[in-house]
Amino acid sequence: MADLGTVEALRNASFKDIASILDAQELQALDADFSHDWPAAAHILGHLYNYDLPDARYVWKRLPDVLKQERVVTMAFQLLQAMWNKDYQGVWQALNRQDWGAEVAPLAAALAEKVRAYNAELITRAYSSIAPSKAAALLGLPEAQAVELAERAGWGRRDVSSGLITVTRPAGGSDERVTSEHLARLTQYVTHLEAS
Amino acid sequence: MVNLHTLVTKIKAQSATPDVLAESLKGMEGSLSNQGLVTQGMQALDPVQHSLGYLYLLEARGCAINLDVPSFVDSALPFVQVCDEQQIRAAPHKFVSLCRKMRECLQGQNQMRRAVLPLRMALAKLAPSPESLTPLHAELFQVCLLARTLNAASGVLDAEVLEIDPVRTATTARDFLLYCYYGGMVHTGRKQYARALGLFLHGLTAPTQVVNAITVATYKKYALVSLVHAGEVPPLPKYTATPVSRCLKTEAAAYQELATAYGKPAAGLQRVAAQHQAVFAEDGNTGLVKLALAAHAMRAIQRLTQTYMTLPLAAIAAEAGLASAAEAEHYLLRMVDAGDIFAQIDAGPDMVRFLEDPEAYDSAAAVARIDDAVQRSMALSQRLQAAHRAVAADRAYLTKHMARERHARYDDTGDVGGESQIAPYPFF
Repeated sequence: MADLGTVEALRNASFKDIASILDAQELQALDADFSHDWPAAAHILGHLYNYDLPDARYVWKRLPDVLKQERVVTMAFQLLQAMWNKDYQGVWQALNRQDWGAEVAPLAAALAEKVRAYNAELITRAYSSIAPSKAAALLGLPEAQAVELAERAGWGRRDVSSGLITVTRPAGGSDERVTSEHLARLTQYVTHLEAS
Repeated sequence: MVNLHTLVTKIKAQSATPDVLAESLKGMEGSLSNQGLVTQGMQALDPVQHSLGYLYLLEARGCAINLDVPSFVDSALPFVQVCDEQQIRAAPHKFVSLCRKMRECLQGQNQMRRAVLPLRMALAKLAPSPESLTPLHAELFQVCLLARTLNAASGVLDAEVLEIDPVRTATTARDFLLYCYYGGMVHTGRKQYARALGLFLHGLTAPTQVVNAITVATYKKYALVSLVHAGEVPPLPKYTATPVSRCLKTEAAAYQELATAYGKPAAGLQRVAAQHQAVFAEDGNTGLVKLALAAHAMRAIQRLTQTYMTLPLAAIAAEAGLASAAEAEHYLLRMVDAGDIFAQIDAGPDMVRFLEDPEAYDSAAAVARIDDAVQRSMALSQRLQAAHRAVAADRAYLTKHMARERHARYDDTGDVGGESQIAPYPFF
């Protein structure tokens, strides 16, 4: 079922397309059940990469028992569980494992980057100051590196007296100004309202 | 009785004019119970060129009692993918029936996944436009739910249904209710609760004289998803059909009790949930009830934001019935992540500061969002006007309207002049 075309497509695809490619392949397969070489772990991680947790869960649910017992697939499932329960420690434990295997490892590494960026953004939203240990747990890094990342990215600064990281939210300036296109659209609205 | 030669010749001759052929085939339907005739006929016809005739034969094959399931499925699956859409639209009932048979067979064989793509193609062929509802919508959603390939339905669900044409698509009221029910379930499975509630509500408020069991089941899902999503079950709109709103008090009593208990402390809620456990399990709603119970603590935290500006983590844990400050922090993080609340945790004194929604609606993204909503409303209003004009020009409507007006004029003795329908004084 995982024919050469699929493998080729996966190699060339950007990480965010992996899930949809495999979804389509799965539906086109003529045999009713998954074959043994179905890249189930990549399928689950592909959905996780898009933060499509429910879809990743349904991939797991429809896998046959034989595939569910494969080592990499169980690892993917543990990661899914941790992300589902927002168990950050578990997420990093799973992501930092070295035994993902040659096919899945690049995807796992890319997912780790994505989760790190996501959690960094979450910290800026949810904290005004945070203990370095907590930040380290969220970012999946040792404390010193977590502080370094925060300072480099510009949203955190270590407070010497308390030892905490003070978080400043980066101001998201709007980059777009009103253009003549907006004006044209407004005109369109008014004419519509007057016509009806 | 029709013999093979007559049947095949007729189909071949009239395939270019599907409506005519549909009429002739209707007359011959009795002969199609002869399975030998059906098999030979199918061999003599081409599924693409003679789609309509082939459809009649295949459907008759599907109705046979001692059905050879694999061979039926093997001819039906490719047929719905290659058939000519102009031809099969002349017999929407037959086409829908064929697709249903195909789905039933695959379901019996536990091969639901094979039905997803063919049904999606069949749906596209039957629907006159992407906005039209067909009976195959509900079929597809059900298949996706059973095969656990929920995202395969997303494309079809994203196309908003605005047209229902019972004649051209063989759609019935039941199909509409099932569309809302299964569509809402697909959204629920993918955690798109707001969209799920929208669909459920469409099903609940469909005008009706009698209550359908589907409506009651829809209400149960609606109540639970509302609790999960918003923490309360809003009252049904005024335009809900009276029989529906009346019967829910008795038919869905357990759910209404749960909704009442939801606004109260956790202990009482747990008791009500345990008390009606059997009912929820029987309806297949245990999972949603569990989700609703889990969301209860978050609702308690959300209520705190309305009262307090700042609060220690320990106090939040106590108010929401959580074990520790660390657990409260975990919940807060989840809620900020989901965008349910806006808060900042200060790790120094372990205080939480609740903030206002930072969206000031002055960013380009907000403008784009509003623009999008306005555009959609405009498209909808244009459609409504078109429908209004169509009704106003409809012969049957006009005849009825004129008759009633004439009637009213004769009855109205107060208006001595009898000519003018205009009120003597303008009211507005």
